[in-house]
Amino acid sequence: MRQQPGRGGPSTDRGELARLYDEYAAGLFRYALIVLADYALAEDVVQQVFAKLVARAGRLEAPERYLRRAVRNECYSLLERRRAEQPRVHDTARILEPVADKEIDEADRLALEAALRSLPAEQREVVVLKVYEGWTLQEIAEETGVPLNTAASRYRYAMNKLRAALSMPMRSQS
Amino acid sequence: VNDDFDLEARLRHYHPAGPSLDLRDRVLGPVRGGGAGIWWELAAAAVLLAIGLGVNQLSGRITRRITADLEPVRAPDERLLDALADTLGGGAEARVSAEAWMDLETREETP
Repeated sequence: MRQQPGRGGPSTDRGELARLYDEYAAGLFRYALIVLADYALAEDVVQQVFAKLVARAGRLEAPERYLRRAVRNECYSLLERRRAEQPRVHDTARILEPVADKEIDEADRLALEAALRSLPAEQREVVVLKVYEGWTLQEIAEETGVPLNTAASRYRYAMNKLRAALSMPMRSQS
Repeated sequence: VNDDFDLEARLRHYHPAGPSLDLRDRVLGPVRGGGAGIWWELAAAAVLLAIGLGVNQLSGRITRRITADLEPVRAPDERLLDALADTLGGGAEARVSAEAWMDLETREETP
């Protein structure tokens, strides 16, 4: 019988780990990729989180929530460490891919990537959660542990910066 | 926020890239396959231990057999010793010299 998420045996079991990976890793990676804007580092973060999961004893009651928070913590710890270190050579791996039914416009994709990379990580995070994950600002505020106004401001700043970077007309402040 | 539909729509022409295929192997590769893996390791250890004990016992038997085979050769031949002692002039000193000479001969013959 297939185990329900969070009701499985110890996390060190390979089968359980494979199930968790197949269910959540892609989403976790995409989230880490947008926050870090660095493909290789995003993979490292996901790998580290799952490695810690192996070492972790006991059951996960809410694996998705646990994993997302672990990835978020790893991402921001990494960004904190990188601020203290020498600036790393900019990652050139792509962070955006066209959806299947859309015509590929490489120049547009590159422009959006560059615009996203120019944002602070906290603003990219709000964009990815709202635009790609479909979360409300209230949900984003709860997940990221900030007041709703802060989440809304980050989103507003992010959209304005993206508009400026993409030479799109500015919208009124809301 | 509703004014951002056009920009959101533009962003939604794309989605964040997915992880590489080898990330799954990197994550799952080092993890052991649960209980079955542990039993396999225990069984392999038991087999290796049994082989080690068997080899040890066999080598002991072979050593004992070789020693038994070599002992008669190494035992001094009393008649030869007497003859050699007589050749050296007889007496206690000649006997000691003959024994030393034979001992040296035995060592040189043994590889």
